[in-house]
Amino acid sequence: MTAPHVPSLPPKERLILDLLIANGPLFGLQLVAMSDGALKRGTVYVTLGRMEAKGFVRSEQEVMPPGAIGLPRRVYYPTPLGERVMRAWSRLASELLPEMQS
Amino acid sequence: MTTFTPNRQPGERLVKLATWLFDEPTRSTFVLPALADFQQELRVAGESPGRRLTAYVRGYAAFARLVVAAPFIVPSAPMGGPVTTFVVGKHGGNLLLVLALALFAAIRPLFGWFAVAVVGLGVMLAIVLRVWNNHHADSRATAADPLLSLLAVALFAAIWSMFGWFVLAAVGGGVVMAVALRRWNTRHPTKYPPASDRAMPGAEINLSSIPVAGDFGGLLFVIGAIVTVLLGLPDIRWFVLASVVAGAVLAGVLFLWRSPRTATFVPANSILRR
Repeated sequence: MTAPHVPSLPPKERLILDLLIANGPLFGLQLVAMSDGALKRGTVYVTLGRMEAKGFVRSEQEVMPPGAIGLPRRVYYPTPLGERVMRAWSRLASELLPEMQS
Repeated sequence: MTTFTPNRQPGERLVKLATWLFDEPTRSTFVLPALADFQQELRVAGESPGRRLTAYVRGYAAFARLVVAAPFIVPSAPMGGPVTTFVVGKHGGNLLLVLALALFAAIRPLFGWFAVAVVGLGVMLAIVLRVWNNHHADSRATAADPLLSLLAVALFAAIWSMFGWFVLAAVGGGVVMAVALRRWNTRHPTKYPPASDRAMPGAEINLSSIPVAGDFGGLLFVIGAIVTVLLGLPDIRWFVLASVVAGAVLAGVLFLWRSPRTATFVPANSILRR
């Protein structure tokens, strides 16, 4: 019998969830700036797209003020599932950490 | 220096280029947000030439990174743009075809018509495999095995006249290696989930799909393959040596890049722990 599929949480996705939960909704560029080089401009959206497909984050298009020009940015929010996955991950990591370090 | 006007905005050319390179979902999910960031950085930079230059460099670099990386890291999406579809093809098939043709062009002087025969045989088997997989989509993970065995037998039969007893030695060595790998894996079971528990994106002849990562058996397999090729083709020893050096450098870079992120989750039987 195969185990039920559990969504994975790679380090970059963990970092993004961590930043979103700690700081609230953020633009991609803000995530890059807060990551201390761990996230790159451009490819951060590939990670965010994957997380959106998994249901960890959701996004909305920025509401542009009247008369504003340029492309609207996307703002990202953590979903309740994303927050639960992050909590579960933190619990798992804190339980396993002593064994992994020994 | 480009300024924001209702007629022309920075990044407009990149938006047009993106419509040629990417399909709509990829464009709206990955590319346009990156270009929106580029425009935002330019807005924040104001009229300062230095800051505007930095924003331009960062914006174009981000776009270039997306163009290079997207076909490999975005699942199934980025092949829809007209140019990308032509260059890359479905699942990178066109690139692989070009690579295969270049490889056969390189070995053609070495093997003569034998290379052409192998190409023909390979094409026929690829068509058979594709047709078979299309008709047996539900069980394709295991169903291709007999055909792959047939491919191996056909290849050994084809090269028999050239290499003679070396072929038998290679087959015997391969069987011994397979038994050794099986014994090793039985004694040191992997900590990775079995293949049946992982999502299988579809059967393809793709070495990267062979789950040998982290196993000592994987290292043995690679060394065995290199030694076998060198015994059969001693003329390419310098090419193999250069490949090994380049591979070692790439592996080192990947290891350094990944180690801070994955160090705590290396399986107990990984090569890294030996």
